[in-house]
Amino acid sequence: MTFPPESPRGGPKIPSLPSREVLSRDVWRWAAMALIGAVAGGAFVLHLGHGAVALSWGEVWGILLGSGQGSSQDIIVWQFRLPRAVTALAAGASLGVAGLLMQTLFANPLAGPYVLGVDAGASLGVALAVMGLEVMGPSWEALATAGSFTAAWVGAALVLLGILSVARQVRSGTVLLLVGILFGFAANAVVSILVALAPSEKVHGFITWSMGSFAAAPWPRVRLLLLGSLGGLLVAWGLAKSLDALLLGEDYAATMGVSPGRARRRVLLATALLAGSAAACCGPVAFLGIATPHLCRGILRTEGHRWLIPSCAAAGGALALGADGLTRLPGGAVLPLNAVLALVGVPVVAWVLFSSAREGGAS
Amino acid sequence: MKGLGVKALGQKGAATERKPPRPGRSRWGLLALLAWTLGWGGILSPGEPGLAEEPLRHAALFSVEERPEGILVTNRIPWPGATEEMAWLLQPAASADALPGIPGARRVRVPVSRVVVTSMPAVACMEALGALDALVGVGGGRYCYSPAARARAPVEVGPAEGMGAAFDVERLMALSPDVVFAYAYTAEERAGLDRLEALGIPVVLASEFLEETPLGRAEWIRFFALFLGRQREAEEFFDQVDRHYQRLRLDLASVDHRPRVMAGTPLAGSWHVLGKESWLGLLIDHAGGSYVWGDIPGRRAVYMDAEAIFAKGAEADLWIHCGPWLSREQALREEPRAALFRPFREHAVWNNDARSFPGGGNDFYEGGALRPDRILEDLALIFHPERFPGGTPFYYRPLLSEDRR
Repeated sequence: MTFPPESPRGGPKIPSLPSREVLSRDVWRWAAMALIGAVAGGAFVLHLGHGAVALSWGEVWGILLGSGQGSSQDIIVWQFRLPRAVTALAAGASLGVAGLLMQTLFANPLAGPYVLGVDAGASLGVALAVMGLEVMGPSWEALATAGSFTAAWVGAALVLLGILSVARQVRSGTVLLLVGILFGFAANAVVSILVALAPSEKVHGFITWSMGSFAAAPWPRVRLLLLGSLGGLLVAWGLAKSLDALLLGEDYAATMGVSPGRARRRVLLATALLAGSAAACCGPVAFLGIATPHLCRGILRTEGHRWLIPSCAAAGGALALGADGLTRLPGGAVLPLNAVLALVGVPVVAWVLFSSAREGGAS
Repeated sequence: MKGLGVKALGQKGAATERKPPRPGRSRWGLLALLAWTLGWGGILSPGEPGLAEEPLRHAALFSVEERPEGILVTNRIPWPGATEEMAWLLQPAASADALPGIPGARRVRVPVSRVVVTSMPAVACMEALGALDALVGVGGGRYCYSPAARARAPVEVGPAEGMGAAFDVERLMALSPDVVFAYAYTAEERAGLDRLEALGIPVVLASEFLEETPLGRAEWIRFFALFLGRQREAEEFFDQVDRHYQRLRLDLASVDHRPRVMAGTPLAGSWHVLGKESWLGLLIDHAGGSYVWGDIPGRRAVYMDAEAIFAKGAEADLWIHCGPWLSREQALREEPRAALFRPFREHAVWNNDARSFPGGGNDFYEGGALRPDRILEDLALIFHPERFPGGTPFYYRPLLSEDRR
C-alpha cells in the first residue's frame, strides 16, 4: 500500500543552503502550524464558554481567575467543563500523534490505534482490571480500579508488539491490517467473555467506559491522562529525526546512524503511552488516530515529523474538541461521541482508500 | 409498613380457593354453563367465563375480545417501534380442534401448562397467580429474583449473557412448551423469535414495559392470566393493587411540602433521564415528590449532559435509583463528582435494590412491575417519613458506606 499522491512520501529534504523555495515552504508550514494551534486554542476556549448552562464569557473568565468559589457556576466550570475540555484536547492530541507514529512505523496510511486493534488491547487491559480481577475476589477491587491506566498501557503495548512482530515477517500492508483486525477480534472476544462472567455492577462500570466519552473523566483520571500524554508526546518529539529516517527504509535509516530496533521500541513505547492513556481515560475513541495525520499531511504538504508531530497534536485536540462540541445539543441532550467522530472520520478513511486504489491498490 | 395481603394470592394453593362469582356475573356463569352443556366446552372463555371481557382500567397496549372462535388477545405495540400488532386466539384445549381460527391470530390452546419465560415480570405474574407449576424454562435465569421460581430450577434456555432473543433452540424444543412468554426490544429480536414460531412454538410477546403508567404495567397480569386460565385471581390481585395505589395517591396529593427528587446515574459522562410523564416521573409525582427534571416532556428517556444534570440536581433533596452503585465508595470511585450533589453529601440517596442478588435479579423490576402500589408506598415513606413512623421500604434501601452495608 502506498501513500496517496496528495501526500507524497519522500522524507524531509535536508538542504545544505536554504533556497527561496524551501524558505517559503517553511514559512507556509509555520503559518499553517500556527493556524492549527490557534484553532485548537480557540476550540478550547469555545468549549469552556459553551455548555448546557448559560454562562457569559465574563463569568467563565472570572471563575477561572478565582471568583465565585463554591458557587454552582464555579463547580460547573471547574468540575465539568474544564476537565472535559482538557480531556478532549489531551486525548485528541494523543490519538492524533499515536496514529502518526503507527502510520510511520507500519508504513501504512490506514494504521491507527482503533484500526489496528491497539484500542481493543487497551480495552482488554481495562476490562481485566475492572472486571477480571473482580471475578477472582472482591479484595482485588482497589487494585483493579487503580490499575486501569497501567492495564491499558500494557494492553496497548502487547497488541503493538504482536503486530510489530507480524510486520517483520509480512510486508503486505493489507495483511498487516487484517492481522490488526484479528487482534482486535481476539481482544474483544476475551472482553465479551469477561462481560458475560462478571457481576452486573462491574459490567456497568466497563460499559460506561467502553462507550467512549470525553465527558466522563473526573480530575484524577484527567491528571493521569495528562501524565501519559505528555510523556508520550515528549518521547515522540525526541523520535522525530529517527521517524524521518525510518520513512526511507530501515537500511537507509541505519546508514544515517539511526538504530531501527531502538527506534521501533521507542515508537512502541510512545504509542502505547499515547493510545493507552487516551483509551484508559475516555474509552475507545474511533477515527481521530487515523484521520488526523492525513489532515495534517494534506495541509502542511510534508512527511517531516518535526512538523507533523506538533501539528497532529494540535489538530487532534482541535478535532476532538470540535466533535465533542457537536455531541452537545441545545437543552442539554447529548449525542454519542463515536457516532459524531465516525461522521467526520469515515470520509477521510474512504478518501485514503480510494486514493490508494487509484495508485494501484493495496500492496 | 402495612402489607396488602395481595401476595397471598400467589401462594401455593391459593389458586384453587376461588371465590363465588360476583352477583353481576351470575348471568355469564349461567350462559357459560349452558354453552358447556351444549358441547361448546368453554368456548366463550377458557378460564373464568366472562372474565375475559372485564374492561381494562389502565393498560392501553393490549385488548381482549370474546369471539365465537375463542378469546382474541391483541398486543398493539409488541416491541418498541412496532408498526403491526400481534394477536393470539385462545381456545380451550379440549375443543380447539373443533373451532375455526381467525386470520392473523396465532392459535394457543389454553390453559397452558408448560411455559417458558424470558421476561421477569412474567415470572412475577405466574407467581402471583399461583401458576409457577407451569414454569418449565427461563431465558436469562440469572436475572430472576423470585426465590420460588428459582427453587423450581427451570431449565435455562437463554444465551450465556442471559439477555436477548438468542435462545438455545434445542433445549427449548426439548421442553415442549405450550407457550413462550417473551419480549423484544428491537425488530431484529422480534425476527429472531419468528424462528421459534416456525418450529411450532407459540411465542407471546408482552410489552408491559411500554405502558405509560405504573398501573398500566401492573394490569398486564390480566394478559398473562388469560393464557394461564387464572383470570379471577388476576382480577382480584389487580383490583387490590389499583385500590391501594389510588388511596395512597389521594392521601399524598395534599402534602404540604414536596421534596425535590433526582434520579439516575451517569453513563459515559451523560445521564439517562426519564421525562415527567414516564412511569418514574408519575410515581414521584404521585408519591408527593417534585421531580427535578419535570420540565422534560413526555415519557421517553433522553441522554442529558452532566452539566445540565448538575444545574438541576445539585440542590435536590433526595436521589433515588442510583443504578448499579452498591455503596458510597463505589459511587465515588466511578463518579467522584457524585459528592457535588447535595443528596449524596447529606446521605439522602436511595437505591431500588433492597431485594436483589449481586449480579443478578432485582425484585423491583420483577415483582415491582406488578406492585406499583408498593413502590408508591416506599417512595412516600422516603419522601415523607413523618407520615409512616417506623416504616421500612420494601424495595428501597439507603446507599451506605461499605462498612455499614
